[in-house]
Amino acid sequence: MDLLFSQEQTMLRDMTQRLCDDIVPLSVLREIEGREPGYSIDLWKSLAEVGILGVTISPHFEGLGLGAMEALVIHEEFGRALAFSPHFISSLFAARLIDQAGSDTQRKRWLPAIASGRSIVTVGSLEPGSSASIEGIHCQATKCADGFQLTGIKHFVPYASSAEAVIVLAKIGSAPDAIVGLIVNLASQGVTRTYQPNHAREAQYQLEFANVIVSLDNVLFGGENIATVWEDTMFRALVPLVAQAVGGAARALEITVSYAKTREAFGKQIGGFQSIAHSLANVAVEVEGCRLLAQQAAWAQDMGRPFRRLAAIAQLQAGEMYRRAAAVAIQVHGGIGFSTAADPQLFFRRAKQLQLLNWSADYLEERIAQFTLQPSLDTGVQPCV
Amino acid sequence: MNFEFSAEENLFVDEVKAFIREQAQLPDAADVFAPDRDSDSMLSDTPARRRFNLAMADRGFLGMSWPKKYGGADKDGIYDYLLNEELSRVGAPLIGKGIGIVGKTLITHGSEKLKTEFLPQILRAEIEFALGYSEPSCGSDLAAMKVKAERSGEGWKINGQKMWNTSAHFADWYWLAVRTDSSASKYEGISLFIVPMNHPGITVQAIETLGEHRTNSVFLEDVWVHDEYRVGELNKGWIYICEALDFERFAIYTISPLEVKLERMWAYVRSGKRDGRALIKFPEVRRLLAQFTAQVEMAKMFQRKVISAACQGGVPTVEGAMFKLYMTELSQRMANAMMNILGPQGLLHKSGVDVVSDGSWEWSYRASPLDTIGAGTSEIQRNIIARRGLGLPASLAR
Repeated sequence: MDLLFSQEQTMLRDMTQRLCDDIVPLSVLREIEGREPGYSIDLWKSLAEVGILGVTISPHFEGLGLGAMEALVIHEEFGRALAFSPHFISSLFAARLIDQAGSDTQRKRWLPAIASGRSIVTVGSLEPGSSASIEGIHCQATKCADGFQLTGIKHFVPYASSAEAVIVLAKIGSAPDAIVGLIVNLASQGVTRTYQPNHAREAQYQLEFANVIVSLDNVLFGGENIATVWEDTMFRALVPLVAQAVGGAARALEITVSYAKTREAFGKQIGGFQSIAHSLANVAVEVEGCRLLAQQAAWAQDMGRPFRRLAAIAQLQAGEMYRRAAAVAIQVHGGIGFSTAADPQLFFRRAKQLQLLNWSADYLEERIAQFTLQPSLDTGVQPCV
Repeated sequence: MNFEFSAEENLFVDEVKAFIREQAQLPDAADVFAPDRDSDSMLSDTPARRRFNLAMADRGFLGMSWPKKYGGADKDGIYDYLLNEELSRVGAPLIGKGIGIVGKTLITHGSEKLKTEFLPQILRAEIEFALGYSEPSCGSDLAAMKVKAERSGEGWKINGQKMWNTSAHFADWYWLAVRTDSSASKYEGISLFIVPMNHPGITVQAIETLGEHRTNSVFLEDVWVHDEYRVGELNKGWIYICEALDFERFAIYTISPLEVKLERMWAYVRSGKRDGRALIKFPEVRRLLAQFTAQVEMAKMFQRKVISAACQGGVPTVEGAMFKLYMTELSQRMANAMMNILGPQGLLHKSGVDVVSDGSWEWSYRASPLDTIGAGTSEIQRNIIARRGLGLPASLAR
């Protein structure tokens, strides 16, 4: 039993924290959010220089070849600083999809480009009016002479204005798992991009595809196992998302504790009132619990153990934990906490967005129930190479 | 980072499990193994349970973390914890106050006389202790204790009343905290004594509780104790009490009772029916159990953090507070939720007819309020987290 980071992991954490503190302090965030491109180009360049854009990408493709724990370390710092960028969607999610489901040619084409920051690849999963499960996909891919013709709408596609391509899941038949993955160049004819003003003021876009031609060499896989790979990628992605929630909540707590030590009411520091202190203690407990849950899920993943139940548990707990931590931060700050001049609102909006965008509580609970009733479902997926 | 126990630690767990299997074959097993007694199951309050402790002593399970010099095995405290984890999983008595609070305090601060007299008997499971800390007018504010010891010849004369002394009706010895200096601050005038429980000036009176669990009031009337039975330095008792609580946080807080409860919840809904429809088909039941599955996993994480911090040589005070707070409140939520799932039949006492789930949830619902009160209330745990974890200012008068 050893729940400490290795020396290398600690160095990675400190380095990421330094970059975020130097380049994107919370004051800078206010200039970034709600406008193009929605992230700091300076931070992005620095992340590229130190190799973080390829953190989990294999060294064959110019990545660092590190594991889920390192991705967790980095994303906890991104979460702390609210330093969001295409890192999650491009370097972790899209890269994993291409690595697991792509051909050698596709890997060579995309992975080094993602690892170096030359290309950003985003992913379109959600559709209006649909759940986040595979049944929510209505985009249609129809066979044509040159490959597939894509029609439909994806929304909440992050950083689509900076990305070179988007990976789109689309139906190729009526069976629930008759799904194909298409790498669509965003400059293709028939693609319309519309910015979607949103709760967290992140760079989220609606993409409309009107008979967009996708050539065969941009088809990720034939259709028989994309659903499995996509789901596996999603489960793996939960760990860095939980880490973001933990980092954000921990920072919101820190800010609030420090406020409670300086702000006075009725002649004493408000942190000396048990109503305030106990409320913050409850948050501290939940933050720590979720941090450990995320670390355990990352550890299981890196050890090749069943990790999906653990990841789903971590995400379920963290979604609500971050939301509550941010709400407590506003409450303890009082009136000033409601103003945009103060920082708690930055966390409050991101917390809810993070909770809802990546598998809702009811879906996670159903999956946890399934894994408990039938543990063999949680044996992970073999790489389909 | 590693979330697993070492191979050696796992071997030890196997050894304990094998021991428990052997013991479960004996005729008195139903008395020894009683998980439905909830947190009360840790006591050695019956002859069968004391016999079980002798068997543990014979196996070398007692005092594993004590120094070799005092008959221990010089092992890491994690072995005491692993043993307790397996014992509490089956509702057997835990290695208790003797090995933990009393033994470790004597080893660190006791005189040669006290060590020679008590340590060997503790190791052989020959004696049981009751703790005399709380009083009618002080629980959470323990240091405000009033029971008084006054000098009398070569010893001390003790008068007053203690309360919530759970083992006092069967223990052999009393580990008693009293005020020896009323002029000093409340933290600086307390000393510890060891007193025979059958001392003529001691009267033990039962307090019956909601959880069908007996605890006691203890009345002390001119109880004379020789100064040799005072532990460590005069007026340092409060420091020893706090130190001992830190020893205990490591070994005594186990996660397995909660895991067993969660398994029982799933088992019930897998086979249970409502109006002929399997409970497991109700989405709200599945979701509720999934939530508890997640929360029990989180409780386990706090437990692991306590071990990890202790193994690194730290004192896991804040970690222990987080675990105790979260686990005990979760246990109450689980009992409540399960009562709701069971409906009216869940209200039936296990001694009657038409009982569901052996009446264990009805008992749990009654027994678990103690958990957020005893061994430091939830409010005290939150104070510890706020002040020692977050560095918030003290809210209470010192």
